[in-house]
Amino acid sequence: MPVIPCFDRNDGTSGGPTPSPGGGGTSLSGLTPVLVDLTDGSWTLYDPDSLVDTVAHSAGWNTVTWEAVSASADYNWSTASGSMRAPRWYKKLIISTTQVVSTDCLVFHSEMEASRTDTSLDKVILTVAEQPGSTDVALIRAVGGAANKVSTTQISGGSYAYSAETVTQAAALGKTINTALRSNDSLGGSLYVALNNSDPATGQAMGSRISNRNSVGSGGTQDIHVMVGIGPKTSAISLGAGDTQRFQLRYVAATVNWSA
Amino acid sequence: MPAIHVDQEQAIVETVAATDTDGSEINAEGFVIPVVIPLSEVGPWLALYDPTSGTSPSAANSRIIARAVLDALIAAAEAT
Repeated sequence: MPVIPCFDRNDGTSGGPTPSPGGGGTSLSGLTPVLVDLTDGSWTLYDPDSLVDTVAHSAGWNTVTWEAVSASADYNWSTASGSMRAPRWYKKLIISTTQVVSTDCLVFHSEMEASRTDTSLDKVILTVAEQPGSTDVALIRAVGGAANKVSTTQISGGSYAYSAETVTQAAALGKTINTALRSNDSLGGSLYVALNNSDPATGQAMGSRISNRNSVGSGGTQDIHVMVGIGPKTSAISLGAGDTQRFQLRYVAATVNWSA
Repeated sequence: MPAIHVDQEQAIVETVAATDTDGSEINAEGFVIPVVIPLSEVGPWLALYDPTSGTSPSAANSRIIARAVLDALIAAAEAT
């Protein structure tokens, strides 16, 4: 049987409690995400093999023009080879004026969309990461979302963790919403809802991927970064000079102080 | 016979890009079926398997795993 309060527990007036916003401070309702513009000057490009020719941004879409890329596991973000030499842009994740660190409880919401117009089959990941300027997957420590061009008609989107992804692909796929959670030096994992491209969009698939990595903080407390990584869709795919890759990315990040 | 279970509610179609047990890359769209092996059954299962033998595990033991996975596949395929 449901219990309905007759008196406001705060001031004792009859009629039950008056709804009031919780938590105080800034409302968490309807947060505005950050649009990723890789040309806005806030991002650092790490491209150890000089594979990016140019990057541009227009109407929310980032467009990368590639140099020639040979097929290699080093450029595939979703393989356990351990070496990662694919291009990536990154910047420190600072919320208000506070640098997020690896011991924080961090929630990273993202929205991703790959483009069917890309000239080759490629991948983009939008993650939080510990050492994005490293070529060692075990130090990059990324968790977030992934989106791919799968064919001339299909794109995919879903979750990314450490060195692998679980995504959904479909002809009617539009954007994919992803939420990554990492906390207390556990790399955590991600959960996604893939949306169709109707208006309004509705969910058409879901999935998740855990990192299986706890206690990753052996190198000490690390600053957390936002990272955008790109590369061919698989290790067997090469890219030609002049190939273009387009993607639209947005994110919102929050930390929780559970001890407060 | 040791026991094995499938988390049927979590069996769904997804595309996985990851690494297989033998180190090869997986890039496949397919049914992801979570197999649950109780910790108390791990020892008994491993005792029944010799990876260096081409006839291991036995047909009877293999059938337990195969039927669990295939029954889950049938149910998942019918639900899709």
